[in-house]
Amino acid sequence: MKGSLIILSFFAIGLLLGISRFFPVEVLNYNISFYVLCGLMFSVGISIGNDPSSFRQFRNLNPRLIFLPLMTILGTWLGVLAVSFFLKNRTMADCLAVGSGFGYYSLSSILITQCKGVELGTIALLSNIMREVMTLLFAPWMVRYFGKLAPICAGGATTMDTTFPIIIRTSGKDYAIVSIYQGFIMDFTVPFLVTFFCSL
Amino acid sequence: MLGLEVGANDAIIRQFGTLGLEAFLLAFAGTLGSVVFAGLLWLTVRDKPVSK
Repeated sequence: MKGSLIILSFFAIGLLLGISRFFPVEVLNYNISFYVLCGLMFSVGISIGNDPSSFRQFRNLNPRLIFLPLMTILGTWLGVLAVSFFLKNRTMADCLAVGSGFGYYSLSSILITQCKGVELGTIALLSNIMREVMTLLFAPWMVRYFGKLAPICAGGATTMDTTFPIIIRTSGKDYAIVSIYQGFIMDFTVPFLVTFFCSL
Repeated sequence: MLGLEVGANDAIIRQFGTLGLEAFLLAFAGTLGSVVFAGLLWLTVRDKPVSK
């Protein structure tokens, strides 16, 4: 939650500076977002590759739980597709690109801003932060009505970091490895899926 | 940078409320969809151990 609030604060500060024209608009022409994106992709690669022991632990998972990230992806796509029928200004591909952030707001908002512009990038940032906050706030309710895997699917790509503590608290310590597995796979898929839907 | 770009774009600032609502709807529907699908998978694994 603290991380989301920090990111939102930076967004709000940038917003106010932009509105007040404190910074010259020419600053935006230097394509700084692209270099930030390169750095971000580099750190994603490091975080995925630096723990080979996780691979061995994943092999011991219940085979059906291997499909958990797939359920997260399919469920999210179905949800955002349903909403896309009511959003007249957005195409299905736009909605799927935003949904495919799976809570990974930093990466998805930069990718979408690069490909689809600042308007959809803003929606991606807000929407993915909201997903993380919903998971943090409603995890106990999700476990109660949809079982112990629900907060893990809701957390999407954040289950290895920001939503990990609440998942352990509500689903139990047994689900720590499932949560890490889900975060690991989703972190890996977000850049591919978001880029794919942006290209449609 | 995104904040700066949004702030400098008057058209986006004017419709910021609409963008927020769209973001909420997508977040809510995406989260709900994944939670429902998690529930379906849960029905098949709830009596089984998490790992070997």
